[in-house]
Amino acid sequence: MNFTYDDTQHAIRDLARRVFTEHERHKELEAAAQTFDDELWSALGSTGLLEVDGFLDQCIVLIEQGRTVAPVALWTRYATRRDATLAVDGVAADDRAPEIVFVRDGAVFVAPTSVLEARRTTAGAEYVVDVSGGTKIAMDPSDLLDRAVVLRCALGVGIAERALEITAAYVGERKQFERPLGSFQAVQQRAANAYIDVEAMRLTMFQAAWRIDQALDARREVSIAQFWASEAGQRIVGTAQHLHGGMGSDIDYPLHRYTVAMKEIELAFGGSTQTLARMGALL
Amino acid sequence: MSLDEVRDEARAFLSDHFPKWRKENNARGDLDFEQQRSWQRYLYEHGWGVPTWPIAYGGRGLGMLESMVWNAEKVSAGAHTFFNLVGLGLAGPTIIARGSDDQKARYLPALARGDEVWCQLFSEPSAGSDLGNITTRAERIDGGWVVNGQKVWSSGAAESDRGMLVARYDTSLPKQQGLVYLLADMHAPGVDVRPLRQIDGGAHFSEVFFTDVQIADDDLVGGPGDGWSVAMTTLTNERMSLGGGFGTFAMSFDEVVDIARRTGRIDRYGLVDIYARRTILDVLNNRVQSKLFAGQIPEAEGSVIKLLMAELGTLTADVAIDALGAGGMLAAEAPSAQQRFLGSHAMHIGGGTDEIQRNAIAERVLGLPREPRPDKEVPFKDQLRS
Repeated sequence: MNFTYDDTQHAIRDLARRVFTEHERHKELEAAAQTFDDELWSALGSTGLLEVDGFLDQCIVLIEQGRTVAPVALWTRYATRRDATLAVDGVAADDRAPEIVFVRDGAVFVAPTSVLEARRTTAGAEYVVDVSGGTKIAMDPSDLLDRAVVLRCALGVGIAERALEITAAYVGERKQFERPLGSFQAVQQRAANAYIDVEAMRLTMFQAAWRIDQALDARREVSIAQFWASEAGQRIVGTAQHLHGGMGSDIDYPLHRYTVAMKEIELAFGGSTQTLARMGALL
Repeated sequence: MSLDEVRDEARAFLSDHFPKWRKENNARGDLDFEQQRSWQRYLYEHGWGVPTWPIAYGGRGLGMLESMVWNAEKVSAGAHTFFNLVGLGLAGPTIIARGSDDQKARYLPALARGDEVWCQLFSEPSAGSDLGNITTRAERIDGGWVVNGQKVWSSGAAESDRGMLVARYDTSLPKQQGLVYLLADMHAPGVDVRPLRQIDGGAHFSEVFFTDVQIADDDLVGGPGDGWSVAMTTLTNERMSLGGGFGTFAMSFDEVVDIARRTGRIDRYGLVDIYARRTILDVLNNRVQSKLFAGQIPEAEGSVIKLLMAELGTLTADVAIDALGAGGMLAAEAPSAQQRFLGSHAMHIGGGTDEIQRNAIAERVLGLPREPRPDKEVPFKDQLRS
């Protein structure tokens, strides 16, 4: 058993980190009211990251995307293996792709994105879908959904990991009572709990990803990963917000994007209560 | 006056006057800022503007329990607003307790009538939990003070006419001793208010910059060096106004149940948890009020209530959003749940962080040793600062 990245995976990670970091420009995009980063999408294309095939490799790329909360719908491309967007529970991710993929009556359908009814979310990149028509395609719906959930969990790992890094740096610098905030035990212990949560999210995600990659039954593992991404993800961004004090609520500071994005990771496939109910049915 | 008499009178007054006032002022739905101001003025003119203040300043001299009854009636009549909470709940009581007769005469009537709105100018970029670390300077000049520095997280500063300002006048004294408490005119030359855009979409807070702002000696509360103790009077009133029977800032239980019923995603455990916590909070609030009534000061209960309220706010928003499922991401689906969720982190920070409240409980209730504070007796200018 090997729990570390191999050389190829390191290379993919390094490349993805470089591309996403070089294109971290939220304020610029927000000022131009852009909810999708076209330049980043081109860069992902020219570096070959859009064509990454291995499921574990896809997850590695998405962790890197989560770290910068980059506004591109990469996970939908990976999950659907086409330039499409995926609609789940009546909500779709972005409207950039020419078609939309959705599950109905135990089968996968596609329809043109013109069926999308635009209703913005807090993050401004999701849309409600009203799908009645559509063309049936040959794709296993449970495989599609499992992949989608785990890819979203990978995004969540990146979001959580980076939110905690930003927080650790902040409490290391911020002084009150003549000491860095991070030297108070109440702060240290809360941050340490968040670290344990990040690692639990990472391990449950990779466990599910590995079983999918090996074409093994992954239903339970997918639910477990989703549950951790929902529950621990919220604890982590809650800790990050809290340890930033008032600073975290000011949208001039980057943290709010991580908080909102993490809430979307939790909700996109139905919230933690639904996840638990689904898991219970499997046991 | 017995509590029943207060209740009867309040109920009769509100059921008669509030609908009439609404009609005359064409005020439908939620009241906007100017409508809230006008309702405050109407209440004042009919003797109900500031019921807990002394009669000499336009109040009724109501005790805490009586004012609880009044507040509860106001809430149930839909006639309660948070208009100038900082002014009416913090500035007014501070001036009554610590101000000069001249200050009381100049400021209390305009406050009670709703003419002047106040903000709190305490926190600074390097003075949050550590309030004693204030670096805004107040320099002595003939007949007054010249203020330079920056304040932050001032609620409602953009709408305010006056502010309660804490500044440092002597850096050779230890941090809590060299402070003055001044009543600042927010429209004075040199005061620059810049709203901060928040995660929940609002711009409730502002940064406030002071550049050579002159404040007369008439607006000094207490003497030089009383700044810290007057500020503590304000903070005690802040804690009390949070637990003053207005309910919580959380969504109502019925709202959450409605969402769950509508979506069919019923998290029984979460809903019961909310219900139980709300009950505990109600009981705690009553206990605080009865302590106040008996002339005791309920310091630790204030911390417990604030912690519980923050947790309840977070829990309620979480359960509500969870019940919305994927639709919870959509701003249009339930603006109330969305905003409460995004704003719920703030309850753990403003008015004293969770950690500060837990420290207070540990030290004042459990009697645990205080954390060593090497900075407390050191002249402010000799301290290491970031």
